[in-house]
Amino acid sequence: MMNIFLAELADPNVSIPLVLPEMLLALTGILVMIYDSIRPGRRRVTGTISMVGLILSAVALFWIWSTPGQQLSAFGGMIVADSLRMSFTAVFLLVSALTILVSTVWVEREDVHAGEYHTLLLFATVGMMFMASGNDLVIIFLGLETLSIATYVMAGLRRRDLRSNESALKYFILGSYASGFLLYGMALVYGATGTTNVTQIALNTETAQFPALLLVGAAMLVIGFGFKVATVPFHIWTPDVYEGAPSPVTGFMAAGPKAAGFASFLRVFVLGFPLVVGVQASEFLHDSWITALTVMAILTMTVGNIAAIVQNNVKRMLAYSSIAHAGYAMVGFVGAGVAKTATGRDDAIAAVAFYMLTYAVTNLGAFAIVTLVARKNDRRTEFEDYNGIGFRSPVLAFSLSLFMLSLLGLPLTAGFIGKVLVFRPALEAGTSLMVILVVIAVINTAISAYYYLRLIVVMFFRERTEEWSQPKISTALAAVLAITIIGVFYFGIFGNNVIEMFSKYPVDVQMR
Amino acid sequence: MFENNYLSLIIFAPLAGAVINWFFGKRANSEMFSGAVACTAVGISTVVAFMIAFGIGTPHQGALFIPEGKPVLDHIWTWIQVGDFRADFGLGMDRLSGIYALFVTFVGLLIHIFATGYMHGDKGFYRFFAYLNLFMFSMLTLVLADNFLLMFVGWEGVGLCSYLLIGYYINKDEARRAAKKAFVMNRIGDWGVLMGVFLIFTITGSVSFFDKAVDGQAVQSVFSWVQNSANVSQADPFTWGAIFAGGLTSVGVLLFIGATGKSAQIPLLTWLPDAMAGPTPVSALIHAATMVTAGVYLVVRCNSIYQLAPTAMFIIAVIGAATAIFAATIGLAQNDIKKVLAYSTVSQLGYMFLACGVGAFVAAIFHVMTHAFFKALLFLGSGSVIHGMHHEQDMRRMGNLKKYMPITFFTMVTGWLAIAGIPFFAGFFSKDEILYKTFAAQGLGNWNYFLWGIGIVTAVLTAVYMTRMMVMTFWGSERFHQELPEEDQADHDDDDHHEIPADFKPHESPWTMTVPLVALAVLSTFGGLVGIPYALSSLPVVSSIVGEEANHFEETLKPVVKKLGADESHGAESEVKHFLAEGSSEEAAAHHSPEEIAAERWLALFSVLLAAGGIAIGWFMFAGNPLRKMPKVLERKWYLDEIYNKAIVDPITEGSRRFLWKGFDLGFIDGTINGLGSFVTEIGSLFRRIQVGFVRSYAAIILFGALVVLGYFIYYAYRTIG
Repeated sequence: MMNIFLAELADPNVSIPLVLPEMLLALTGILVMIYDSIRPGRRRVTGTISMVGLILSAVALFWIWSTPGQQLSAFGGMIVADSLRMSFTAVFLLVSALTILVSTVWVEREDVHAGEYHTLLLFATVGMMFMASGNDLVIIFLGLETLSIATYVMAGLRRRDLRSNESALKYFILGSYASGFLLYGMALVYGATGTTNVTQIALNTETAQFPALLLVGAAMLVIGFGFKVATVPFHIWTPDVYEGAPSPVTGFMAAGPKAAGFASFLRVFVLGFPLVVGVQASEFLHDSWITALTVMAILTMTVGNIAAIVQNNVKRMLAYSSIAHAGYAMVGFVGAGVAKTATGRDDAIAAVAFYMLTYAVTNLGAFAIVTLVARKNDRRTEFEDYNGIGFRSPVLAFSLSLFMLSLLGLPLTAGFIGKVLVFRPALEAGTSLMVILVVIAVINTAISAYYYLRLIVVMFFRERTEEWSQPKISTALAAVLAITIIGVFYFGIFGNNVIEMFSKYPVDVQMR
Repeated sequence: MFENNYLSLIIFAPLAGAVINWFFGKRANSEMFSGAVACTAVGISTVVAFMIAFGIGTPHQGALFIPEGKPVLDHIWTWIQVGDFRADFGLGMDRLSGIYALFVTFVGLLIHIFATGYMHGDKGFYRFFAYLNLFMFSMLTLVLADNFLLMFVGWEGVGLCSYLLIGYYINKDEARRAAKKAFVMNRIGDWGVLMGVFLIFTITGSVSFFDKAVDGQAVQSVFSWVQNSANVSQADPFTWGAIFAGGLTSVGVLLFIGATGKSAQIPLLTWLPDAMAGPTPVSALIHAATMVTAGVYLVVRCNSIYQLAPTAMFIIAVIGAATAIFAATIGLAQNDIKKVLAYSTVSQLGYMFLACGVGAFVAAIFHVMTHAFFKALLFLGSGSVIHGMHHEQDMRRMGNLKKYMPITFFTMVTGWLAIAGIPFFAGFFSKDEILYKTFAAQGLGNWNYFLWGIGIVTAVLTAVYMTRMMVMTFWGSERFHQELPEEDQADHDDDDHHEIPADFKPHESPWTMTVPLVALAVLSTFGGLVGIPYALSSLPVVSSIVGEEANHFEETLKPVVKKLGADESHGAESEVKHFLAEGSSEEAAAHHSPEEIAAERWLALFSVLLAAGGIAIGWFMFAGNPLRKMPKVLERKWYLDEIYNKAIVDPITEGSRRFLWKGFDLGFIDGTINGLGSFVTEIGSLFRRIQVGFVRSYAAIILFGALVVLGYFIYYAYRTIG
């Protein structure tokens, strides 16, 4: 075993094409930074460069995706090119592009220093991409830190607003705290298995040096990743940070970093800690993480939904709703963990990726409208501020209603297909624990109708007391709305095409 | 397998028409434009439907002639595919859906043309046609869908359009109430359909109607699963327990609950007469010819399920017969011309379900088609009358209209004779076949004679009330200024009925309205000739004109209604023999024993006499005294609405108000939310006062969670050590 590693160190099989998307985007980030230091304040130019970088990166990604016979891993197994990576990376790129478009309104309104903002966003995206492509705990951690540090700063971008500052600081302190858990967990797993490579970890569980260490390490990883994807009880930072951060950044954080967290979380647990029948350590490990995550999924969606019901602030409501959605996604995650066949597992992973895609599209659409309605300094984000705008601004109101219905999971919208796909693998496993999980998830969906529909009711059936001046919909925002609305319908009706794409390159880990 | 991508044109042309009218109709502000768009859209559907059904200019045989009833398919896209579950957005036209598509598009086209005349001068002209086209889209989706899920989309779509169109006169309270009632009653039925479809998928693992191969994947249909000999043995016994056993009988009963909602059968029938508050073309199209027969379509489509579910069949037969006679008695006493026709529709739908229930699925579809012709004709005729009478619908204020509206009169006479069952008009053959098949049904004990008796009585009643309607409307003295009794006057307060000037003369309708009437009159007269039963076509007189092998209709539908299983405890053995018969007339003769033929002929003669008798009774009772007072209980519809209100609606309203609203909503939910809200606010303000402790307390919560997770894992870790 060790000899193989030494051989790999001697010949690290470097493959530039395999990291081309990440490299292109990182270079774009650096370019934007340099440009901004030479000619500061050109927000259109930096925005355009960023968009071009994202598009180039996407092109590179699709090139890898559609080239048959592509090598599956490089850099000594640290970077992989499987569907898990590809599909999540596609989500990240879409989220970033939409975020840049959404933020144009806010950037101009509040005169944000756009160069910095775009740079940070690009670096955060690079971090997310490494979290998905890394097949090694070290790469995953590097990606996570790149992402985190960028988002800490982004949360505090409204420098003169106390809420924004508070949000950034809280996020930073609690985030570092969680990173500690994560790093310690990685260290323990390394100690137990003698490797940081996820594929190798899976193989080494049978020969683990000290299985107890492995279990404690896994627990630490659950806590660290749980913080990133905001599962109860590690969600506690979310509402404050989401409320305090500028609206576009909130939308970004709820869609992007959360998806990135899921990408690594999935890879490490589903692929790194699989069930190997007959090996006691592996059985215990698998059993405990499945149960722990099931309980966390139940808690996450229930707490998220119930807390969302009592909110009077739309941004806070969406923050809690994002917690609930993490819970739904975890149903698919657990489903991937208990899948009996490799295809079943890969389908479940693709389902989670698809779920994050539908959630990202819907959520960013919703945040685009929230940003627009909120005005300067995010003042108008209460439910009351939406009273009776239904027929005064029909475009905004109907789009927002569509997004709410998709978040709720109404058929013919993206949210419906997403939910069906993530609930199915768990249901197919057929154990009573999984059935209970799915039943609770469905009940939670019903509960969530209360607050999603409430916003629609408020918009269409309440009288408006104060005057309403229709916000101007800029071209960029119109583009966002068009993309997200089409997305909601496309994924809801033709979702199958995307799913097929998402499960094109099965992950290179066999079931045992 | 036959693919034809033009099939989707049939459904998408009306959709395009609806969209165009919706977005540009108001701006164009021209009746010419809206009417032309709507009629062209349906016209395209009609032409394409005929081309594909008869194989005119298509690379394959017509859908009605493809051997073994195989469908023409059009896979538009894969809607959803999850594991074993697959639902396509795909259409399929086999013989059954072909017949439906033909009469839906054709009758629909005629009614669209009629409506351009009838709705002339209406403010919402474009909106009306947008809805009407949307309805056509939904109805054709329902009929042409190649799986249960897409059919349900159409099923819901027609429900929605029906709601929109019943409530079209939005300012009339009556219309709004009727729309709401129709919607709610249909929801009850929809529940049944959904549950039925879920159960079908659970049992068979498929929701497809047809065996097909999509994306290189073979899809087995629900029905071939059921027909598979290994599964036929799963036929449910004829017991009441089978209803709740979760087998095919449960499926059958659940789907039939849906059918009772859509097709206005007992107990969900009261919405259809109220639905007459909509414009008359809507009543003709949706509430007589097409949508209300969707329930029959569903039952016949699933005939292989029903053949294995004798209990469900029995329920259908009884409900159908009961509805038929019940509605016919009410029809006797109505004074609103459209209400008479509405109850008549309910009654005729009862006949169709009676036919399904005794296993005569072909006869049911035959009656659906002829009924579509003559009932659409009668409704459009009544529309023409109402139009000519300046929106007067009460027959007590009509009379002697044959003098003023000759075309309407003559066309309606054909409709009247057709529905009464006078020989060689369309209704005669179909109704007669249903009655004979009921009489000859086996496996029902002696129930078949009882059901047949009800059918016969209903036939007489039908002739009586239709004669009453004709007499009151077209014969007798002119009563245009007749004072109505006080109580009834109140009903019409909010009508858009204008006071009739003293020198009022009714007028004949424009050509846009009379041409469809004439076309439908021709169909009502000759449309039944495609399905002359063998017993009659073998009569020397008849066979010399049409030839012995005249039952093309039954020939066509044979493959759709395949008989299952070898020995079947229930249902229509004679029916089976018909189906087993192959093509040629000798074989047909061989399978029609002389006794059976004789019996059928005698019964046909009997029902002719009854029809004539019914007309005679109607004539003598009402010709002299058209305003004869009818029994109050019939006029008040057996107090059914009152009973429903007292027994169901009021308790629910009351319960909702007391418990759900005041108790649960205000008390529990609001209480919890307000309580939680104030709790959270208090906690929040507490936190805000000690700002430093904020992050720390978060960290503490995270730490607490971490300890729980760690503890749990360490418990396992401890076990690994031993």
